[in-house]
Amino acid sequence: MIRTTVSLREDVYDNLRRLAAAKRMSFSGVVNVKLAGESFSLSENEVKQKIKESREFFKKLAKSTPKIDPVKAVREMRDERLKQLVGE
Amino acid sequence: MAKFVVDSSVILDWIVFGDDDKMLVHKLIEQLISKEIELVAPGFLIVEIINVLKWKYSYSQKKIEFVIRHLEQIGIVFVELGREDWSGLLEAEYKHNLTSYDAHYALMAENGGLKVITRDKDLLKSGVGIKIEDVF
Repeated sequence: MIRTTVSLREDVYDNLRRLAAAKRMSFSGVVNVKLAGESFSLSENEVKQKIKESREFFKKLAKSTPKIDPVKAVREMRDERLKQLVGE
Repeated sequence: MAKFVVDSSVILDWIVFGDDDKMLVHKLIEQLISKEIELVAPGFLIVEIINVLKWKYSYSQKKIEFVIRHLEQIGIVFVELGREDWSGLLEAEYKHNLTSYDAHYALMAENGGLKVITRDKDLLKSGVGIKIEDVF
C-alpha cells in the first residue's frame, strides 16, 4: 500500500464517506474498490433483499407474459429471420 | 466457484415462467446473486432476448429495458466475441453441427472449459450443454 494525499471534491468525499459507513469499510478500502473498478461484496441481508426483489420482479413480469415455450420462440425467431434474408 | 455459460432458453424460461416458484431457474439465480456460482453469456444473448421479447412476447420497449437492466444487475457477465473469434465460431459450428447462433455458446463454453446450461435440444445433443437439473 502507498500512502498519498489527494484533494477530493466535497460531494465526492461525502458520498465515499457515506458508502464506507454503509459498507462498514474503511474510507481507504472504499476508495480502492472504486478506483480499481471492482464491485463491493454484499452483506447477507443485502443478498437476501436482492434475491427477494429479483424474485418479485420476475414473478410480476411472468404474470403478464404469454406462456409460449421459449425454446420454440427462439427457434421460430431465428428461422423467420433466415427466411426473410433468403427472400421466402 | 462453479462457472457456467447460460443461454437464452434459460433466461427466457425465467421471464416467461418466473411466477412458478418451483422453477429451478430461481435457484440458479439465487446462487448467482449470492456469488455461489458465476454465469457468463455471449453479448449476443442480449440481442436475442430483445428480439424474442419484442416479436414473440409483444413486450414494450420500456419493459424490455427493465429486463435487460435487471439481467446486468444480478451479475450475469456478458462477453463480446471479437472479429478474431470467427474461426473458432466456425469450428464450433461444424464440430457440433450447430447453427452460428448456438455456436456462440459452444465456443464460449469450450474456450473456458465450461458447460452451457440450456433447454435447447441441439446444444444438449452436442454434448456442450447440460440441463439445469444437472447443475444442482
